[in-house]
Amino acid sequence: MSFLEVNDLHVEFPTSDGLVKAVDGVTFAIERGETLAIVGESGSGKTVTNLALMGLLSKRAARISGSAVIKRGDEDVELIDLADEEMRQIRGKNVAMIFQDPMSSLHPYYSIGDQIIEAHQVHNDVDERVSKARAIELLDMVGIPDASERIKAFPHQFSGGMRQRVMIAMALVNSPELLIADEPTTALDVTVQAQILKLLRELQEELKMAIILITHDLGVVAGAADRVNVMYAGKIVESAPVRDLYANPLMPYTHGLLASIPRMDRRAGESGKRLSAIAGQPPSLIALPAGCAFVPRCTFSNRVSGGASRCESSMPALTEHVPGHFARCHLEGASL
Amino acid sequence: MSEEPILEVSNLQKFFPITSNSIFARVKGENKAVNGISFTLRRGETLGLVGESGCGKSTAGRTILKLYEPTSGAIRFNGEEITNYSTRKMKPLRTKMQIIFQDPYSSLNPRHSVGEIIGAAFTIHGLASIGGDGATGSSGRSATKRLVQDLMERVGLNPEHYNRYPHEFSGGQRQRIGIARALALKPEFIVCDEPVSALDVSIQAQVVNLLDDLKDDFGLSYLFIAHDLSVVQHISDRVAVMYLGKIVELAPTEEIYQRPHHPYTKALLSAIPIPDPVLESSREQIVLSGDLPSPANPPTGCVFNTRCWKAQPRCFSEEPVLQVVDKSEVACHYPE
Amino acid sequence: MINYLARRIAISMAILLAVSFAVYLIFAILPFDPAALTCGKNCNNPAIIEANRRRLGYDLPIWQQYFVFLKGLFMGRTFGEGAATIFCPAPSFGYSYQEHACVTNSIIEALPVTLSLAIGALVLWLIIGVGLGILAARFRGRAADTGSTIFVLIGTSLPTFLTGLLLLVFVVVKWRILPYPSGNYTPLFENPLAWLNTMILPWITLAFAYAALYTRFVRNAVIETLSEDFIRTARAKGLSEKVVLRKHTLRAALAPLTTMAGLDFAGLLGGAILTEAVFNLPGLGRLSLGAVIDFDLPIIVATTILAATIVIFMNLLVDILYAFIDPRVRVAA
Repeated sequence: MSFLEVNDLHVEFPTSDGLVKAVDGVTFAIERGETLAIVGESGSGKTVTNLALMGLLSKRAARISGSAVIKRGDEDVELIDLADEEMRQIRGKNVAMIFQDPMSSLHPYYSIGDQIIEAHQVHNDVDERVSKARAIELLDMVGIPDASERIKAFPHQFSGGMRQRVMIAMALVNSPELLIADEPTTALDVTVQAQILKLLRELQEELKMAIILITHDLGVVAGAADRVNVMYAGKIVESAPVRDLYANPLMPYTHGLLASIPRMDRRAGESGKRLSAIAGQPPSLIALPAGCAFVPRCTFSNRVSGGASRCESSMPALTEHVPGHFARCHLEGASL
Repeated sequence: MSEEPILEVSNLQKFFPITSNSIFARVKGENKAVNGISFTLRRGETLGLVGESGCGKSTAGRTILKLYEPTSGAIRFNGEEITNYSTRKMKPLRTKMQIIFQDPYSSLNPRHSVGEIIGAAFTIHGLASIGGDGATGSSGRSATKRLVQDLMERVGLNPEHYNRYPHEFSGGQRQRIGIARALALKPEFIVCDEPVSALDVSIQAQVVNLLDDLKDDFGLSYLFIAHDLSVVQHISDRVAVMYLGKIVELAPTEEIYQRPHHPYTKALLSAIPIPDPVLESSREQIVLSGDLPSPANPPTGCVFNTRCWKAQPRCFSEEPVLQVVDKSEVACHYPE
Repeated sequence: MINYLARRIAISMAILLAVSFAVYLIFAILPFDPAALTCGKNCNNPAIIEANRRRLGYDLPIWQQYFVFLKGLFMGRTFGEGAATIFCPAPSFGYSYQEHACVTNSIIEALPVTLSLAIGALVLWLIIGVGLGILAARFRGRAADTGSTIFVLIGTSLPTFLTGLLLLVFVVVKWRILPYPSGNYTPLFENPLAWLNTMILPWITLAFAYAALYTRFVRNAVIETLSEDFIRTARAKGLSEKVVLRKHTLRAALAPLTTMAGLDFAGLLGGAILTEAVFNLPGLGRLSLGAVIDFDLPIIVATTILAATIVIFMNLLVDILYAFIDPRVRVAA
């Protein structure tokens, strides 16, 4: 069994406009030491999936069903419907998270040292001096110069990239087996993004942890992930090893997404031509169609045997078209 | 594109005072957001202005439109020096110079309908008479409505949505509203200030394509400000790279992406992740160390000397000026 | 920090000086003869008026009057000469003919009453407002929240004098739980029980309206803070909901309350006129009200300057407190 197995996860938010199906039957697994990227646009359900796993969604607002089993030592723990107290034992200890905006994600009133020490203390019954030493060790590891002095500083005294390093140090203080990184570099400049991605790669190598990388940036994914799940309208629409996905996308949405990115590496002459955009808008999560949610924007549906009407009426299953490469599409095989 | 310049900027500076927090505000220093930039924009050309946050690119765009009062330097628009024009003298020129903002959420008044937002330009500048009637009376109003609906159609919005409010539109559609508003007065020059950064990837391509089409149809010249170098590459004829309030390199697009001469340009380009796992793994990346220095206290000599891997003593004492290297202009003593 | 403080205090002093001069000027410009007012409503004796004018210094030019006033603040001031000499020791705010007393003495008598009223009410409304606000936010949309909303509605819509009168009618007149307000004030250290008896109803009256405002403010601030990213981080660390609320949420949510409470408290020290009137308390509010009705110029000047002083120094205190709470104010980036 894998380190974490998510099976048929559903997250629904009842609203006055209707039921929002934010996550609609998501199934995936991640192994130790692996980096799994979850790619999607805003509203695709990539963030909600992970907040649901971590029990960070308000129980009053969200309806969660399905299963997510994580290995904890020798025992298997079902995360969905886990009691609050037990979930807290896992959060920050076995699974840690970092977020998009490192400024607003750190508490402005406490020194970074206090915040990291607190993260260590809550899961370890040790003297505060031990936690402090551990905090300095981690700050050092993530590349904060002069860590034993800087530990007293407050978040606003750091630059964006340094704050994200602090967040990473805080997440890793209890040596988690899984790190969930939710758009960790989106708020950062490209040169700083490169620093942070390099750091995450090195830390993973050293600590052998699994990483779930949530992002909208297919460029970041290409250099960082082992496996990719592409999400659209609450569903995984394609799942493949990273090289397979880029070389041979099987789902029209992935195909369109890759084609719509302006590429810097393309040679002269090509850059002048129009970008091949995906027409239309992502669907509303309240009135999802019975069939494939991408049909209204799909340019391949007429090539499906049975025609576009088949795509509109029946939801394709996530099928293994090539070994290890799954896609949710009625199109036969790799014919994009 | 003609050789005739539409915009000439020479040695433009914009400093913001840094005041201490007391009743008698004391100027403690100056944030040198734009610290002496010069460039020319030709009629029909798109000049990309790129750099990381804090480099002064947005301030430059707004100062050129006189939304900020320039500290020193000169701005010539259509040969007319507008540097010291009053608000009143600027008003007739405002129809010719427009801006499209980054955030399509905060830049549209939520209490005005789309028709009112786009049509306001006609009313403010008393131009509803374009339709043949005065700005008042029902015939004037219907003329305005027709003009607005034509524009909406042109930017890819449904003209029947004339009476809808901004919150009823998605991010991409809102950006189209912003574009229609900018186009309403038939401008010659538009500052596009990060027009696609807030949009999802699949929507970005739509808006970039639209901007590209409109440029030809309306005979526009763009100053295209962005941090995303891939988008800039796609749409620009020439690109200027800014760092800490200065232009460090200015070159034709092909040239700058194929043969970057300034070390910063080189590092910036190499930091951009390419959506291709095979290329990514083999590519050599220059990861810059450290952070951007404070624009209130820029380094003496070359502004990039604190992070440059090839800095020599001369770089710390003598400020490099833009000089011609091949087809580029580079501000570096030791260009690549 | 010390540098900053020194500058702030210097600025505060300058503002006070300006305020006091402005107050002086305004009353000097008004079409009243302060000397004529000193000998009663039906006084028609020019000799007495002129004598009083000289005794009180109203014969001097305005800037000289102001200078004498300032000097009196620091060195005390003597009015008249010979047998009829009256000396008001420093800090002297002048002499009131209506009260036949040094203004400073009148203020010293009234100040403890207002202080007792304001401090007691502040403590009461902070406890109720913060407590209810947190409860309402914590149990948002449930019974506690609805209850607090009703409380807020009543508290903000009932005028203070009505609350006060209702309390008087029921607690004092009908149920006879407390004695009727005598118009006298018993200091805390003389007879704590009598003090409490006098103050309890005014506290409740005053605190009721403020508690409602604070409940609403705290509820919204806590709810807003709970949706902050750093709260999500705190939960992701595995902290218990109790720690998340107490340590991470409240400190951030309640910081702006310092400013609000400081200024509201300062406002009350200037005199809670309605409450003091309803409960017949001889505080600063009643003193000012009487002074305005009788046009007792020295007292009006003194209470105005006192109120300005309190507001200015409360502001300073709030800023210092804020620097202790929020490191972004204390430590430069």
